[in-house]
Amino acid sequence: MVSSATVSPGSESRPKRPIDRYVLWAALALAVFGVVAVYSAISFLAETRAGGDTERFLVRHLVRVGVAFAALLACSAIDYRKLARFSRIALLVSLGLLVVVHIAGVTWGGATRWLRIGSVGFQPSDLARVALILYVGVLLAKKQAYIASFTRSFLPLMVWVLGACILIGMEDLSSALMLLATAMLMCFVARVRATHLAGLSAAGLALALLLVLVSPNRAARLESYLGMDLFPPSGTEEVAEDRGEGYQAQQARIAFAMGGLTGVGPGKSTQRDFLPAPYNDFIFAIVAEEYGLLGAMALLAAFSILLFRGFLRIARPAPDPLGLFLGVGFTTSVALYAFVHAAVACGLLPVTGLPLPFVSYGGTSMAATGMMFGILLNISRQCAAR
Amino acid sequence: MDAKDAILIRMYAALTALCLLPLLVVGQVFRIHLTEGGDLRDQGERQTNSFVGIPAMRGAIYDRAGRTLAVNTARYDLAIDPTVSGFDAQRDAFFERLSKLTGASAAHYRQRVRERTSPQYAPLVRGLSEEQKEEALRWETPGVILDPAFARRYNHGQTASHILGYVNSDGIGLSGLELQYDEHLRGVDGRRPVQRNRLGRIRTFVSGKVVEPVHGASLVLTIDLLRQTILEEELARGVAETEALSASAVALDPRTGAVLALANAPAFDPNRAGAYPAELRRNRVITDRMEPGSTFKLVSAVSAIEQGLVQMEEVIDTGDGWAVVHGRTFTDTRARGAIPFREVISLSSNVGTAKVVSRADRDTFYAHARRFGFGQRTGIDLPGEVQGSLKPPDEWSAATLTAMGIGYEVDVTLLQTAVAYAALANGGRRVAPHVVAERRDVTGRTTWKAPQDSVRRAFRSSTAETILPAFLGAVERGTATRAQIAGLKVAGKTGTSLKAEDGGYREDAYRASFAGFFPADDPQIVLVVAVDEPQTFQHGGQVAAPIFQRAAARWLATFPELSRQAFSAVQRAPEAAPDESGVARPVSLRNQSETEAAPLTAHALPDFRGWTMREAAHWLSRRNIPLRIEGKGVVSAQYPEAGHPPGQTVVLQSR
Repeated sequence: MVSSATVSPGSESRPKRPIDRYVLWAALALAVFGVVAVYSAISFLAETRAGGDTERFLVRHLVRVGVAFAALLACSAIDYRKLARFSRIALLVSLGLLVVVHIAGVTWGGATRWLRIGSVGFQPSDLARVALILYVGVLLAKKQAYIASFTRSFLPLMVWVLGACILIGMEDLSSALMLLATAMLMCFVARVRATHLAGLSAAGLALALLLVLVSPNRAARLESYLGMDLFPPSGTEEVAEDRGEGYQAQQARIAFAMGGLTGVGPGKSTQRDFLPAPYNDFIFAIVAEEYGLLGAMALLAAFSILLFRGFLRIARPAPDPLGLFLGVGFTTSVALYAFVHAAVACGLLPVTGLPLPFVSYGGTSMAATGMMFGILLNISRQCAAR
Repeated sequence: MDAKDAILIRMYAALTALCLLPLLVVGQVFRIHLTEGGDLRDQGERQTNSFVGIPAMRGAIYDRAGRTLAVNTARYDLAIDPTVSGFDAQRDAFFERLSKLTGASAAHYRQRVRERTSPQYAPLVRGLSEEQKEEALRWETPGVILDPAFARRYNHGQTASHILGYVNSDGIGLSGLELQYDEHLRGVDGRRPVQRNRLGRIRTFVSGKVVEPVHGASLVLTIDLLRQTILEEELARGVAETEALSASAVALDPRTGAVLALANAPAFDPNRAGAYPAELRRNRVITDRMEPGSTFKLVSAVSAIEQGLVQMEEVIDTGDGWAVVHGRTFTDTRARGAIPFREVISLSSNVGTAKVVSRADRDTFYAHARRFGFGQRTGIDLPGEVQGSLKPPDEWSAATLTAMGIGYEVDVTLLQTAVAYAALANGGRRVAPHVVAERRDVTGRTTWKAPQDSVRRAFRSSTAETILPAFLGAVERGTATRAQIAGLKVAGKTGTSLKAEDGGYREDAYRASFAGFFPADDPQIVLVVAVDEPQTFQHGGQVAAPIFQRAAARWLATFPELSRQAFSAVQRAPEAAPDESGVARPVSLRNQSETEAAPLTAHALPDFRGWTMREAAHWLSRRNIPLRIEGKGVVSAQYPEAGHPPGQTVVLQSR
């Protein structure tokens, strides 16, 4: 059995390598960048909601960064194979929480994604992300011997993946799609048959069309992105004209234009006053405005470093298939989020509410990203010395 | 190919696909910059950058002696942001208090808030005073916005209102000096750059250049507050006594053209100009054209002498007091027979004047009138001046020359008449009238002074010397004896004209005027008075001359030199002293002769009860008994009572 071979206690006795410094530095740099950018971008919210007390939000963000790094350190200290053993139960628990959220969650920004425990808002979908990638990695590693089989490997994998994605997608379609893409990419790398994946993609496209048709909100978003009227107006569109998707995309483009090559300078953004949720959904645009094209490219470069290190220096030399798949999965998840966020901000993709990992002002997302980084770093520790 | 290699190949493929994303993003950012960067930046700047004005302080207006006539006061504009949390709780109390504070109804303010055009800003009250602002602050109502601004205050109410003019609620001059010098008074507002966000709120402390305001210049006038007040009082008194529609007067310094006082009665209060009809706000001295009547005989006299038509002592036969010249009948108030030309002017004989003028060359006569400034604006620094009308000779009919000779078929303003008499007073030199002597900047430094050399010659100084006795005679023993000032030589001319209407003349509507200057041997003041539609009497000598006399006599106190001169003259001839009130007070004219009617004397007052006010006033005026009328219509009470000897002002009251 592949799985028993990979999760052998013997591997723990091998001499530890130092963790991957590049990934750690990239994570730190992103966090520092995030603190500065969020401090500026949050000012409008602070002004309108908290009477100008920007520091309160800064402190809150710093606490979240602290929590994320604690998660990072904790996960990097725990052997990923031990962690993988709890992946199934963790996934079940987080999916259960998603159901609870759907019934009793807190509505925020038009969608119900939050669970409030005490005074801390909590988004179970982020936990589900980590758990699902872990569990898919475990399944893929376990099924390597018969990975091409439709019934024995593809079907059970898809039951879990689609199940989780549908539960998440009920409230947060874009996150669900990101997770689906990550899982599919993991399957692809793990030699699941391309025909199966292509068939699923075709089915997915058909489903997507259906989803767009039943939701006027989504239809409007798509229309605004494509710049044409696809569907007759339904009368239930809640988006106000000047706060619509087109307005947001336009304001984001203005941010890029204002930034120029070197930006208007730290804290001098004006578009933060015009973009909705600039501290979260459009932080990339704010960075591009304040630090210019160079700042935006530096940010992309940090994620690119993570991508390359994750694939080539963590996943490739991983001691076992599980490590490889998890390395690919977590790296893809973080990098894909970042790139899609950037693509949305500059108008390549329709407007969605995706955070920029480790930069945006969002608690659970940041903690989840911290966990992913931690697991990646742990894998890097276990890599075979070259 | 073993499993590991297949995995690695697939991994590289996935990596390659993922790498494309950041490249696409960078490409898109470049595309934004290259294709629409400029437009987007413009749009961004437009929606963000804005300026908040720093109001410049409007300049003050001072009289000749530095007394403030118009100043700025702090005022506050109150607005409300009804979306501020906590406002709703105090809503009712707030509207009630505001209603109590301002006097407007609470419902009015509710409506203003309900019908506001901006969601977070409803302007409610303009121009709250400092105390009212403090009061409003004490309520501590959330959402109240108090914006400071400047308000204009005219310290002396109606005084000099037609000169000063007024401003609108935004502090922009709408009439008078406020309009004429608006550009100088207003200054230049400064501005401070601010940023706006998507809710329209303003972020201050933005870097950028603050443009400091340039405060407006102050005006120092040639007007003297005391003289202006006296003139206005006497005008108002004249209007009341003669039951006229209105009266106007303007005084000039004939040597410089400085306007010493300018008044119209009734006046208006520029502090609340909107409460008065436009009719009252008009500066009739410069905006109303009228046929001058006999005051225009100045032009006739000058033209006749300069053309060599007549000598001053040449005898003109005025016959029975009527004559037909060019098909038009001229009448005098009474037959005077053969009198010298000097007397023709002094006694204001239309027949005599027409006879002389009919001999004149039309073009030369026109040129003379033109040189006096008739038919042209005087160029006074007040807005709304009309030029009147002086027809050129090619538009004249056969009767125009003689009609013009006695002041018909020509439209002049009172100011033009004043300028013409100033020329006579000034030896034929015509000056440009002006109201503003200096402009000063906010530190008090003089930045501009009225030029003193704007003088043109209207006629020869020898002509002025020649004709002056006629105008002295008019006051000494002619039509204007009631313009005499004890101790000073006064020269002048009365004028009475029928008001023209719809191409004809109204039978019962007159305009009575008097133009004069003093002291005649060294003229310092030209004062012209016109009364519109007097009811009790019609003639300039009865209506306008007394106003001239009373105002001038009271003015002497403000001219120490003249006052001394007049006083010593009166001392030398004590029997001429008018009464115990002295020279600086209105002078009663009991023992002076009437010209238009034989002087009458009364030993006891009759019982006026049952008379109309007009009958009573006429009776008293014929006997030169001063009169005060309270009320209109039929007399119901009088003081002193019937049978008392006259000697003090008679007060008549009606119910």
